[in-house]
This record gives sequence, C-alpha cells and structure tokens, in this order.
Amino acid sequence: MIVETELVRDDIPIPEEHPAPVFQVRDVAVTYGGQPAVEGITMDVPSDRITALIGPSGCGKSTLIRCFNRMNDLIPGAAIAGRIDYHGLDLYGPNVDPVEVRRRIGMVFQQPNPFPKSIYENVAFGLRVNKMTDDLDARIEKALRDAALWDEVKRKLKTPATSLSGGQQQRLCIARALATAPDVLLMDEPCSALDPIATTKIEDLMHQLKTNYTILIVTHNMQQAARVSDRTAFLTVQGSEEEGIIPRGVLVEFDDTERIFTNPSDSRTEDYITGRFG
Amino acid sequence: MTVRLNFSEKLDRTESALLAQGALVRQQLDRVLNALKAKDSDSASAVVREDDRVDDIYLATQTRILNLLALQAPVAGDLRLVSAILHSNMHVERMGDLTVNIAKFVLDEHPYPPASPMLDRLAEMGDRAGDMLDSALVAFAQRDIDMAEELPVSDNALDRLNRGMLDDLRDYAGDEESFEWATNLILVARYLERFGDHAVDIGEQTYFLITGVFREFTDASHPERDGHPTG
Repeated sequence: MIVETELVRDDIPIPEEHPAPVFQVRDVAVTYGGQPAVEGITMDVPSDRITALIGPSGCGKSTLIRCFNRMNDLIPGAAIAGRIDYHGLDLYGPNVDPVEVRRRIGMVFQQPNPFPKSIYENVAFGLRVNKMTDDLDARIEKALRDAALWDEVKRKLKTPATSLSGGQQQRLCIARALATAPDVLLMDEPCSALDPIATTKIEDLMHQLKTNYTILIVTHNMQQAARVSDRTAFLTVQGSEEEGIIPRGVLVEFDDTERIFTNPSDSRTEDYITGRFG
Repeated sequence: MTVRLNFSEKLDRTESALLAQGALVRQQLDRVLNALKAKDSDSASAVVREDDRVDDIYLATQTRILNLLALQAPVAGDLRLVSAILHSNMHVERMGDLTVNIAKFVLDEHPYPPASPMLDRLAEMGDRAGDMLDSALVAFAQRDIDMAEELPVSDNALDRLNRGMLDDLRDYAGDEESFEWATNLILVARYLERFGDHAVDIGEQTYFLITGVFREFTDASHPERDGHPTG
C-alpha cells in the first residue's frame, strides 16, 4: 500500500448531539416604551458552541442578544417578558445580581471600545471591579493569550490601548471580556468595523474559544454566520405600518448552521439567505 | 498569520477521508483478486459487505463538500480542491462498486478452472489496476503532476491486456462449456479496465487541482486530441 492514510473515526462524521443548553429562552418579548421590539422567542442556546443570530435590520437580533446579559436593563423604558434560564436559573430572578451576570456573560460590541488607559489597565479593569486582583499579572497574560493578542502586545503593556490597530483593539476588548472568567461571550457585530484580515483573525479566535466558551454572535454578514457558527437563528420583521401592525422581530428558524444554509425549513429563511428578500 | 482555521481543518479532513476511502478500495481490490484466484466465496462476501463502508465515506464526503460550498465559499485553489475531491470521490466510489461486481462474479460460482491464461491475464490486470489507484492517490495527495500524467500510459497497458482477453477467448470458441465461463471472465476484465479508467479520471482531477486547467488525458471520441487542454 503506497498511500498510508488510515481510516480514522472521523472519516465518517458522527452526527453531533447538542450539548446541554446554557440558555433556555421561553417566549421572550422585549418592548421599548411599550412598543414591541421582539416577541415569541423560544430557543435553547447550546454550550461550547457558536450560535449566530442573523436577520434583516430591525429584526431585533441586537435587542435579543442584549437580553442574555441584561444589558437591556440599562435602557430606559425597556421591559422583558417571558423567561431566560441560565444554567437552569432564571436570569431575571429577584435575587440575581446584574453585575455578576455580566461577569459571567461577557460582551463585545461593534466598535472596538477600549478605555483611554494602557493595554494592561484595560484588561485589569474588570478584574479590579470584580475584586479578582490576586495574580493580576497572570490573569492579564492569560486573557491576552486567550484573545490571541499576547505576542503582539507583551512588550508594550503600558502603552495606550488606543495606539493599537482596530483589529487589535477588538481583540483587546475580547481579552477584557475574558479576563473575568466568563463562560459565555456575546458578540454584537464584532467585525463590522474591521478589515478582512482583522475579521479573519477574530473568526479564527472564535473557533479556538468555542472549546471553552459559549459564543453568541449577531452579524449582518451571512457568510460570517455560515463560516463560524454551529447553530444559526434567523429572525425577521413581522408586521408593518401599512398593515396597521407595529413591526416586531420574530424568530423564524433556529437550526444547525449547515442545515440553515443548505436546506432551510422555512421559505422566509431561504429567501433571506439567497438574497431574494431583506 | 491569517489561516481560516475552521475552514482549513474541515478541508483537510475532507481530503483525508477521500484518501482513506481510496486506501479502503485498494484493499477491496486486493481481496477480490485473491477471491477470484482462490474461488473464495467468504472473501468475496466480505468485499460485498465492506462496500457499505466505502459508500458511507462517499456519502459523508458528499455532505462535507456541500457544506463547504454552502458555508465557506471557497475560491481559487481551495475551490479547485473542493471540486477535485467532489469528482474524485465519485470515481473512488465507482471503483469500489467494480470490486463488488467482481465479488458477485466469484459468488456466482462459474466453473472456471483454477489456472488458465485468462486468469493469469486477469491477475496482471488486477496488479496494474491496483498500481494505478495507488499512483492516482499519491499524485492527488502529493500534488504530483508528473505522476498524474503517467496514468494514461499505465492505462494503455491495461487496455492492451483487456483486448488480449478476446484473443484468449478465441481458444475456447469450440468448447461450449468453457466458452461460457471464458465469456464471463471477459466481464471481469472489463471491470478492471473500467477501474483503470477511473484512476485516470482522478489523475485528470489532480491535473486540474494543480494547474486550474481541465484536461482530458484521453478522449475516446477524438483520439487525435488526446492530451490537449480543454479549458
């Protein structure tokens, strides 16, 4: 035999069973000043996987992702109905501390938003707030390594974070989010302000991080959702002023990304991903 | 360095599965040739059974390729590799089916004698067909254009042996009983000849993968054009 390739288990993929959900979302609706933004959202978000939220503008995907770490609490007039369980516990229960929620469920935003401080202090910030200052240097190094930034900044930790490139700033923000040892990372359009090479670095980083973190990502870029995610939720806008129904976001389909992009169940999903709508 | 880890891993895994499938078909060929020589029904049955595994890998690779196209939008060299795997996967699966055809011939228990010039010729054809599959897989895996271009030369030898089977058949023309099994052995030769054709087709995919030019190494309808690029 000249070719020494051996058959290994992985030559025939075994269908993946979905791991236990980190979030169980049940009939969630969000309103701003009494106006519906999203409604009827029910989905399980699996652990150690990347889940993408896609859909046209106004479908409520950013509103929905902000529900997962109670960021909507900070918006005046925002109200949430329904239930989101995080590891089986009601995320909006009366005894839940939103600060602790945000330590466990980190978030990265569209625009890199480092603080006007040094690289070191940016990563240290959340650790100091959460009183996790033992082994501070080691924690900062680990966060920067996990964010694939350590080798690029280890000799200039005291320089201003704003001196970094856009892609490096975004990875710094990821390091800042990882520093407090969360188990979930929410990413709201994390690459929309980045060039293609910086985008690829973030996508590679997400692929590495999903071994230890559950990731939810909102993206306008369908190809990005296809490239990086394991599960995809497609939301769309239902209702219009012409119909006399206030537009609000609804979840159309939530399935394995491979299925969404090869054989979606709902014609609205097919129309959106093939570019015929949206 | 920008590498697209997720995509690279999936593409590597898909190519590995194709090569593993090829190695499995190579084992199937060896086993069925031994079964043919020894008239061993158990080995022939094992070849039929093991073809399910070849088919499983074929279907898994088809699915993987579909997903890579849908999710990763490959371009340039990556696109050529995806396309070459897609086509070669089909050829390897068909080669597996040809070994099953030979196994079923053995299971039909034709009364051919344990030794004959036709069996000798089939054994030589089998060896050459196996060598061609080895070369096709190595050429693909190592992106070896010279090795790929050698495949039609090997195939010509296989074709000559196949035509020689008809000469052998004439020796049995007056003996009705022998003529029947000898005619059936012609079918086995035909399967091995087709096996070689598929190896050449994989070579053409390798050529496309490396150069971006699709070139039919042999063109049955236009033999005067053999070897000329078509795209």
